[in-house]
Amino acid sequence: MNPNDVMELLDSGLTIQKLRSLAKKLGVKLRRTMRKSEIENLIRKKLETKKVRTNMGKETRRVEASSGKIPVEEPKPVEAKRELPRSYNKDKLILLPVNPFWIHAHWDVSERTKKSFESLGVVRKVLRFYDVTYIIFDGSNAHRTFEVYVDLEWRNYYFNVPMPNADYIAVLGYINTQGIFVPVLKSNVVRTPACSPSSAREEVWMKLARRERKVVEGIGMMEQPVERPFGSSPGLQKEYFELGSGGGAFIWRMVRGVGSGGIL
Amino acid sequence: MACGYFLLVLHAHLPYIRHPEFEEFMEERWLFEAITETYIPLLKIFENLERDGIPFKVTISITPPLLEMFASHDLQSKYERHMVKLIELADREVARTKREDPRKHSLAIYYLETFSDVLNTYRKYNRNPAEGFKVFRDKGCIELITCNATHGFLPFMMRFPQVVNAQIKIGVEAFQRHMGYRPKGMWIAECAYVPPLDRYLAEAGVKFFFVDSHGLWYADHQPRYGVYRPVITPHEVFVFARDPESSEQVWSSQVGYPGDGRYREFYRDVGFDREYEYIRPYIDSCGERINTGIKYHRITGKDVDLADKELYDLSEAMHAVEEHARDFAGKKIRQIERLYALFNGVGPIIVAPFDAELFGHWWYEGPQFLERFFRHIAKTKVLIPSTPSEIIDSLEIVQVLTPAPSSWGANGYFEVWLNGRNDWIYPHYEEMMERMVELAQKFTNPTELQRRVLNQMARELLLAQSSDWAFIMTTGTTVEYAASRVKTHALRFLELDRQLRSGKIEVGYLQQLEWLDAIFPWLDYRIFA
Repeated sequence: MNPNDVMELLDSGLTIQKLRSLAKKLGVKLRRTMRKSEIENLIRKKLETKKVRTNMGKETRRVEASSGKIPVEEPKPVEAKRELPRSYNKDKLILLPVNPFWIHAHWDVSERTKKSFESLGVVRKVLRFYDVTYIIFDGSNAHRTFEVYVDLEWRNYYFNVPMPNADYIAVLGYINTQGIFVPVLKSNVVRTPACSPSSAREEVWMKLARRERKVVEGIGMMEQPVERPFGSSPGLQKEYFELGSGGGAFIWRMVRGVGSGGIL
Repeated sequence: MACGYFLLVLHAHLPYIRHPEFEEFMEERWLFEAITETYIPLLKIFENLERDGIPFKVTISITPPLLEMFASHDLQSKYERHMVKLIELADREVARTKREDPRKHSLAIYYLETFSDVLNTYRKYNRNPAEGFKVFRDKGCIELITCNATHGFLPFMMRFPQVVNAQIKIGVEAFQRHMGYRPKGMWIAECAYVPPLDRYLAEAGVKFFFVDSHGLWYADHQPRYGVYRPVITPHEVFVFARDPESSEQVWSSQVGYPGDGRYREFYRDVGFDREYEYIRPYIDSCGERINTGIKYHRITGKDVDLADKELYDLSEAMHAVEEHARDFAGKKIRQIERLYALFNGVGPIIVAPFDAELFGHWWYEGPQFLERFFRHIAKTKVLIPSTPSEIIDSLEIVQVLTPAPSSWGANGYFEVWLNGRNDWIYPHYEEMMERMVELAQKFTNPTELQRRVLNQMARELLLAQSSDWAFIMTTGTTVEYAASRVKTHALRFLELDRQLRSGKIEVGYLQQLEWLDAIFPWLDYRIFA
């Protein structure tokens, strides 16, 4: 049966019995409890892979004239079937800034570290966040310290922090039997973005001809901007999709920013 | 008299989607649609404006992946084949609509003529729209700028200065190789800025870049003129900031222009409307119905069902364009007058950046809107179209500040590119970046084969880093494709890495990847050292 004919059949809306027999013909394995939509999805998936294979069959395998490379006769590389590793067996704790109030942490733990955690028996694993704005962190001098209990298998965590425009560092560790925090992995430092105008009172100006810089007393912004409260701006990108009628498929919704008209 | 400048900035970008192993590939159509509906129509309006002696200035960022795809011989041939088929469909539509509403028939004729003209124009510019843009650049109407290598999201790479540096320098070099000169400016992907990106930009010789409005509002010093004058960073790179009013006026779903009922409806397309047997040869080869580009209906009204849309009327749509262009020009002039008075006679500079593909592809009449807009402002001396380089050359004094971390995505920061839908990609990026830098530092004297492996690893990393993948995962359309691209490039990178380390390099595999992921054939991995 031609995949396209099957697609058409599917589009015409089959009964569950017909879908089951169709799945059987195509060699799609079904569970008895499956619902109609699930069966339909499986069949469509099967057809997708067929489509890929048929397309592969008529690969042109012609190399661009200009590249001067030897034509490749082998089928596609095998890696398409494999999954990415869940862990790279390394000890890492990485912070990335999300917005003025959120930091994303992701970590990887080596087998060795995992084993030493296990050897401790049941201990609380803890992710600590330290506000280290304008200080050199020595483990005990942070402005503020926050912690959450984590499961190592979570592998990532979104941390809600109180201060925009502040430096944070994280440490993953555990609480030992004496109730003391034992650090295991230390992260990089990230700065949360600012979300309000600077309180600095001066302005710096540069004369371009002589590259001369001059500090003058600031007068602030001559026109006060109209800002948006944090988190309230869905971005205009959402808005354009609401133009016209919606529905259907805007095949390549590649529209990125065009910003949120104010933000924050 | 009040006087200010208007900088229209169009950011032309698509991720590198090129599948030479397939005769047809659905996602390659993104490029084809953008050429047909945006890039060529933009060239046409530039030709019209030039012919009529209307002064116009546009800044266009053409990203390296787009330049590479424009110049790819197999994509060029595929595009021509695509157009030949589309013209054939339009021809059949002309015959077919003879029996239908006469308005549909005249639209079919219009499509047949338009598509043929698009193909001719495409060929006229040597099958490469970038050459067309260069023609107008050489005439002084357009300033062309580049983008960081593969439109990677730079704030998330800051742990690896070498990677940031590579993204920026490759962006400059790719542009230079395709266009024949060094670009002065760079569009940093998604306007995503964190300090000290300006230092890397300065080192790469980039003279200016763009940020979103709040990048200046929340800078380390308050910008005296808000977003209406460029500033310079401590590392001496000029920064232009987006005017929030301009995009709101054009795009807001409440008051914006493209939602007008007279404009063409995006979602009604003969690809879905015609019976299957008839349309089968012109949709995706797997048989899935898709947009062909032939559309006979207009938006009609927001709450009108797709099935009840009325027929599109070109002359009515052009009336709407005329009204909207006049309205926009009026608003910009009043904005200049207001700001000029407020700034005590200092000329405001309004920066209006948009995704280029919004004009034409999404808002079909968008290019005509731009043309009419330039015609309107040609009549006034209050609003002068200009380019960043012209503005910079005219400056004598400029405020120094460091912009705040920001992007032009929803909510203004980084969450569009880092959230629960896409965060699984970052541990893999992290691992690849770390290994790439490590290997680039280690292999100072590679064999020829090792060199090729390392160069290909660099390509796989760069391709995986395109911000489009994370963006698509957030928006929830074609997620599977985006996810498979990240996975595929990461797996290829890891496999090459394994072969390199084990000393067992499979030449056939390497050759295949060089053919499949052929971006930046001149790339030298040592840029990551």
